[in-house]
Amino acid sequence: MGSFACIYHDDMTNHSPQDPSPSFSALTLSAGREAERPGPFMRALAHADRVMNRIYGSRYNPLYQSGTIASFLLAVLLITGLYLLLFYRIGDPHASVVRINEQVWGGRWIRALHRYASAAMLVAVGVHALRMLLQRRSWGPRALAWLSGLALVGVMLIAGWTGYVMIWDEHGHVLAVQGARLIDLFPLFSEPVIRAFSGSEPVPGAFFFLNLFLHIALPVGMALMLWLHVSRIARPNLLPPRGLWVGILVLLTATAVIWPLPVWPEADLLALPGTVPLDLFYGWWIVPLLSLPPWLILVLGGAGVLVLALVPKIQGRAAVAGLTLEPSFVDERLCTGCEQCYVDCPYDAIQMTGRSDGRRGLVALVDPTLCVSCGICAGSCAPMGVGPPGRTGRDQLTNVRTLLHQAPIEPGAPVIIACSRGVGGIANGAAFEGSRVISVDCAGNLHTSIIELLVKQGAGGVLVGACPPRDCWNREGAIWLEQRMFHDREAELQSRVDRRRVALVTAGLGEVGIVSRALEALKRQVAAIPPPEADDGKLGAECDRPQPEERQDALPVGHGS
Amino acid sequence: MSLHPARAAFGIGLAILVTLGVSGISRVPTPIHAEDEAVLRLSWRLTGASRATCRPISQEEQSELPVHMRRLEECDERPPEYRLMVRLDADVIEDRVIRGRGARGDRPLVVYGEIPMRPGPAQLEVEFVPVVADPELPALRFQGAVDVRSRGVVLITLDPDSRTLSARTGAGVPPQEIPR
Repeated sequence: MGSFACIYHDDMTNHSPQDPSPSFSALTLSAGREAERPGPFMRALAHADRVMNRIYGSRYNPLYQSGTIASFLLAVLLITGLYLLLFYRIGDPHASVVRINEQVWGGRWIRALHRYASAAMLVAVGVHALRMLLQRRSWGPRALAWLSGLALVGVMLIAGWTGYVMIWDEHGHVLAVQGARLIDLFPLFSEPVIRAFSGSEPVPGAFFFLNLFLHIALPVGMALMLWLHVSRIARPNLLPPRGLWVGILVLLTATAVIWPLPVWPEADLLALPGTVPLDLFYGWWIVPLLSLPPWLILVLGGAGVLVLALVPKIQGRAAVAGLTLEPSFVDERLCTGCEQCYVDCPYDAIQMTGRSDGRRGLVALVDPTLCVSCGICAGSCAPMGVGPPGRTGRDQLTNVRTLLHQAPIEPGAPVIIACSRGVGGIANGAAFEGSRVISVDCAGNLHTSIIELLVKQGAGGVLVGACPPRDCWNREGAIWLEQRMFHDREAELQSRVDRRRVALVTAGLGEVGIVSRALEALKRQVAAIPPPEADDGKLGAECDRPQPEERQDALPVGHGS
Repeated sequence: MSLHPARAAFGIGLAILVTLGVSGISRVPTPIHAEDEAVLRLSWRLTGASRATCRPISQEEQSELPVHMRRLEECDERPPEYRLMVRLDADVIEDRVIRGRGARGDRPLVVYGEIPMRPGPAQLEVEFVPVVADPELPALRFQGAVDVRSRGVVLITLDPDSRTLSARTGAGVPPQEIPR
């Protein structure tokens, strides 16, 4: 700890290798980007988030935690499924389920818990996918997560289908027959699969064996696919906070105990099922299949899957067309090899490698195929040597200085730096309750020198607004920023900055009240301390650029780590 | 975050409602077949009806083949086309030609189909005969009265021992309440 941001005056601008020439708006630190205005679907999602935040708080917001809830429920399914497997018999499937319900200890409750958890998992997965879709977090290196998630849903649906068929009640009968109608559209077998359920002969035991095998193998495969799903992110969260998963488990268990599953009548192949207790999560496709030809369902389903598979392509094209989202780059002259960007990168896109400039130690290297241009590294680099083009710490400083030159800060007035995607949506405006708003792509991009500069320029205080940590589009932006501002994480806000003039607030889109209250609190806090001294705008950390031969001593490898 | 008791109660209530909703949607009583539905199901597989067409392989052709693949003649074995005709109360409700399955049509003849019918007594006639008459090929016929209940199935299938078509009738499912 204890490093300082060393800024070289002579190359404050025009150092990006691709020279993006940012046409930044007057109040944004983003390169070539205006603060995005959310569309109607995004606003609806934000409204739902807001309601959940008010009820459960952002940490326990189940909408934010939908991905971790799904993986937790997969664990519940695996454990309860293993228990049920001990008593299931493929030789007499329905009778063994009756036995589980009536004779096995806790059998009917665990069976119900297994069923309800599977339904809840699909809901959680749906919410998670919808969030990623609306937040446009599917393209570029994130495409792997999107596509593997899509495959996971497919496997989940098939695993659910096999689970219902293995009970071999009327519901299972319907799913088996209708599923066979779809399978028979493919010229895979010499005989139609549906003949197995014609009633001319008993359903072969091999069918139930294969079905059971799939019902075990697919969820195990899902666990492996989950690894692939999160393989491109660092420090993946697979479990929700304890309070949340305990609450979900208690609720599902209580529902299973109070409302256990009966065993419905055994499948009768020589009778048409009348009314069956259909699971609409896993058997929704049955409803259209009853009135439409199977090929049409298959074509519609295939088209739907194709569209979903193309989402990364579609969103990527839209994003690249309107925005500048090049991967980060490293300026080796500035990189001290401290490894902080390597540690902080939420996508494991930065590696440390040998230097090419003759200096000792390592230098950061960005893998452009993994970088999503989140810009977290820009905030984590004390010497401002890494970040996406036009959004490095140096670019931010240049931009904010230009802003201040165009419109100096009113002495004593607080300034808000807000994430353009969240924080009540206030980043879309030039001002909020009389305070100037400067927007950044992600609060995690923000270099703390900007805060210092604003305070030195006479701002009464700086309120930084970030998205709730669990809803950070760049995963860890709010967490790292908070640690840089208040816990001396590398690239920290310098100790000479009066912390009473600095505040951090996290708020989702539309949560204007939270920002408003935080701003009022900051104003009151600032009013109680002496006004800041006028400053020439120079940061205390700024220094002249050392000559190459001096640098090894001036910026030792790993300083501040 | 401090939790206001009213907000906590609302949060718990909402969570219970959502859980019950999700659990309920996982078992929604859904009508699949109405009471006035019944089905005539045809399902059998006819083996042993294939006809081989053979031609001798000349010496020249033999010499071009690897030693282990040389045979005196080359046969193309596939089942002949059959005609399936179904009459219900003298009305023809099905009339189509069945060919051998598989990409080359050399797999056995398989019949599967479901034809909706009304519950109640009916006179049924099923005929499965070669398109080109051949006394050596089996011709399958069923003729008789069937009485099918509501949501019942009349299955016409091939008795493997007697190699004749026979009918099986399911009991059908009387209207009943689904336990929830």
